[in-house]
Amino acid sequence: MTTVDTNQAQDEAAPTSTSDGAAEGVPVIGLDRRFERVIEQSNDSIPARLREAVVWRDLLLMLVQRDIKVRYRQTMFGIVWAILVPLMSLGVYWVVFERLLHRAGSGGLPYPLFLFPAMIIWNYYSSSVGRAANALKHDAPILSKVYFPRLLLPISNITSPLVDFAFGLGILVIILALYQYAPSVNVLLLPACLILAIVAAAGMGFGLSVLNAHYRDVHHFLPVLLQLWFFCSPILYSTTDLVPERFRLLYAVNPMVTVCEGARSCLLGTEIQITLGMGLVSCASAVTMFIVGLVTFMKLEQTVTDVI
Amino acid sequence: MSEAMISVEGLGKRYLLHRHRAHDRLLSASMIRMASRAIRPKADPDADAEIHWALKDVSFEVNQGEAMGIIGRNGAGKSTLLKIISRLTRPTEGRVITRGRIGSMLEVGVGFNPELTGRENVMLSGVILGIQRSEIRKKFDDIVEFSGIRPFIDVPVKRYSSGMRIRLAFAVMVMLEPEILLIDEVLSVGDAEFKRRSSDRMQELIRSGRTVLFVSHSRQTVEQLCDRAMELDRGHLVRIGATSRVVDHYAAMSLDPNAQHNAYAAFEPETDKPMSIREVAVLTSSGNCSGEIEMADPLRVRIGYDINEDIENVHVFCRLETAEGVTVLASGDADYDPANLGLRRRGSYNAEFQIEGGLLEAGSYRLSLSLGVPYESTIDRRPGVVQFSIVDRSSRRSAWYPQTRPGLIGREYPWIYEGKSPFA
Repeated sequence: MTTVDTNQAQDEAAPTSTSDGAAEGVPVIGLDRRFERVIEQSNDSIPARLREAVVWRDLLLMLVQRDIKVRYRQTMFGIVWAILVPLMSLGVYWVVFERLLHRAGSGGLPYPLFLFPAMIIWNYYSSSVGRAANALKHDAPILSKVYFPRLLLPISNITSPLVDFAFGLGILVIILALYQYAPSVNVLLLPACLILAIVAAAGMGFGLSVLNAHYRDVHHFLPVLLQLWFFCSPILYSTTDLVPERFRLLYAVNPMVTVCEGARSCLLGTEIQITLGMGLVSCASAVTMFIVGLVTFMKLEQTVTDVI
Repeated sequence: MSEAMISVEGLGKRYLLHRHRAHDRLLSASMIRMASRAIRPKADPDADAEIHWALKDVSFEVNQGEAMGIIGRNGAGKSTLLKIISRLTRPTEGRVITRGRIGSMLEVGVGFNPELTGRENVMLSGVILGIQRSEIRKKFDDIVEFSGIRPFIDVPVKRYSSGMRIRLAFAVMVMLEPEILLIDEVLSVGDAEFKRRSSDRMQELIRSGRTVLFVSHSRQTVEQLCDRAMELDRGHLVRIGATSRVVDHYAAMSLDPNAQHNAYAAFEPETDKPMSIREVAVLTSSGNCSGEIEMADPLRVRIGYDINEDIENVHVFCRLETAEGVTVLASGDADYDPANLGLRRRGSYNAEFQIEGGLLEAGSYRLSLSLGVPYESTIDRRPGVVQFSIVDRSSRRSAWYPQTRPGLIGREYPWIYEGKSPFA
C-alpha cells in the first residue's frame, strides 16, 4: 500500500511541497484524506483493485526479474537452457514423427519447420499456466506477511515465460535459415496471436492460482489437463488434416487452436488453416476465460491467507 | 468523525476449524458439502465446523504520533489484529479505518530469495515491503552500512550465515517510513551490538511522529517504546491505557491466569519424600500477606517445610525472579551459615529471611523453591508458586515521576555535585 500512495503522491500532485517531500524520501507525516482506507469484510471493488495493481508495477518488474534470475542461476549452462530445452524437445518430436513414423508437416513442410512455431507458443502457454497456478502457493510466506495486490503474482508468472518465447523465436530464425525458408509479411500478425495466448494464459493462470491455494486438487489435475490440452491443440498435426469440418467451430472453442494455427501461418507464411468464424470463437473463448479467471481470482483472493 | 490514525470499531474475526481438516481442502469435499447443502437447505452449513473467534468486539483508537503496545498470551489475537490492519486478512465483522500509508513489519526477511545476491534481495524485499525502487536506490548505501555486510553484498544470500541474512533483512525493513507502522516482535535479532542499533533505529522511527502498533511479549520493550498499551485475551480487549498500568497487570496475570496475586501457597504433605515444602508466604514487615509490598519496606519470605526422616547435607533454596523469568536473587539457608548443612531432625519447621526495603525496583516478582542436596539432587521443587508485586508509593522520585522505572534494583542514590552546582 505504501508504494501505491507514494506513487499517487508523486503522480497526482507533483508541484505541491507535500509531494516534493515524498519524492525526496522525507516522510510526510500527518493526516491525509487521500490515504484514508476502510477495512471491512466486504471486498474492495474489482476496478479499484485493478488500479492498485497498476500502481504497484514496480513490484511486477521485480518479481519477473526474480523469476528469470532464479530459474537460470546456479545451473551450469545458465540461460543456455532456454535455448537447449526447446531444441531438445524439437529433436525428440523430429525423431519420433519424421524418422520413425515418416510423417511430414501439412502442405509438405519439413516436420521440424511445421512443428516449431506452434510448439514455442504452446510452450509459452503451458509454462505460464503451470507457473501461475503455483504462484500463490509458492509465495505463501510473503502473502501471509505483507500486503500487495496479489494479482501481481500470477501476472509475473505469465510474463516471465515470454523470455523463453523470445529465445524460441531466435531459434526459429536459425531453423528457417537452415531450411532456407523466408517468412512472409504475415509475420507482422504474430503479436496478435501472442496476445491471444497471453489473454487465455492469464485467465487460466488467475483462476487456477487462487483455486490451487484453496483446493489442493488443482495440483494433481493440472498436468493431465495441460497434456490433454496439448493434444487438443493443432501442434503435432494441422486442423485441416485431422478435424472434420463440422466440428471445427466447436474445436475453436480452445483458443490455442487459433493461437497455434495463427503462429504457424504467421511465421511460415503458409495459408491459414482456420476460418474467420473459428478465429472469432477462439477470441470470444479467450476473453471469457480471462473474465471468469479474473473474477474467480478477485472473489477468492481475499480469503487466501486464511487457508494457505 | 474521529481523526484518529487508526480507528478499530467492533472488530471480529472468525475462523472455522473443520474437524475433517484434511478432506476439507479438497475440491471434491467442497462439492459434496455444497451438494448436501442444496439437498437439505435448512441444515447448518457449518455443522461440522467449530467456530473460533480469534478476535471479538475489539474497539480502540490510536492517535497520530502515538505508539500503542499490544500484549497478551499466545493465541490472544495480537497477530490477527495486525494482519487485519495490514490487509492480509479480512475481518468477519466490524471495521478498521486507517488514515495514512501503512508499513508492516511482521517478519524479518519477507521475500528474501536465497538464490539472489544481497543487492538483488535488498531491491526485491524493499519493493515487496512497499518502498519505491528509486527510493531504495537512494537509500541503498545506508541500508548496506546499517547491515554491516558490505563485503558480501554481491554474494548470493544462501551463502550468508543466518545472522547476516537477518541483519540485511532488518536493514531493509527499517528504511520503511510510512505514517503508520505495524510491528510484530521483530526487534530482537542479531548480536548485542546489532540489537542495540536496531532498537535505536526503532525508537527513532517511533519517536519521529509515526503512529505505531507494536506487538510484543517483552514487557520491557513495550514499556520503553509505547505510550499506551492494550492487553488482548482470547480475542477480547481486556485492558487499555497507560503502558505501565496495563503491563504491570499483565505481568502479574501472566504468572497464573486465575490468580492476581498469590503471596501464599500451601501444599499437601508428601510423606514419601524425605522432606517436602509445606507452605510459602511473602509478607510485609507487619506480617501482611496481600501480595503488594511497598518498595521502601522490607520483604519477608517465610517457608514452612517438613522433614520426614533425619537427613543431612541438604539446604532450603529460594529463587526470586521477575515476571519475565529473570532471576534477581538466589538464596539458600546454608549460604550464611554452612553449619546448616549438618544433620536435620524429623519434624515441621518454619524459616524466614528478609530482603531489606528500597532494594528491589517496583514490579512483579515470583518465588521458586527447592529442597535438596546442593549441586547434586533435588528432593522437592515448587517453581513460581508465589507471586507478588513491589509497588512504589513512597520513594522520593515517585513524588514527581509516576511511572515505573525499568531495572531490577530500585535503590535511590544521592548525586553529589563537585564544587559548583547548577541549582540556584
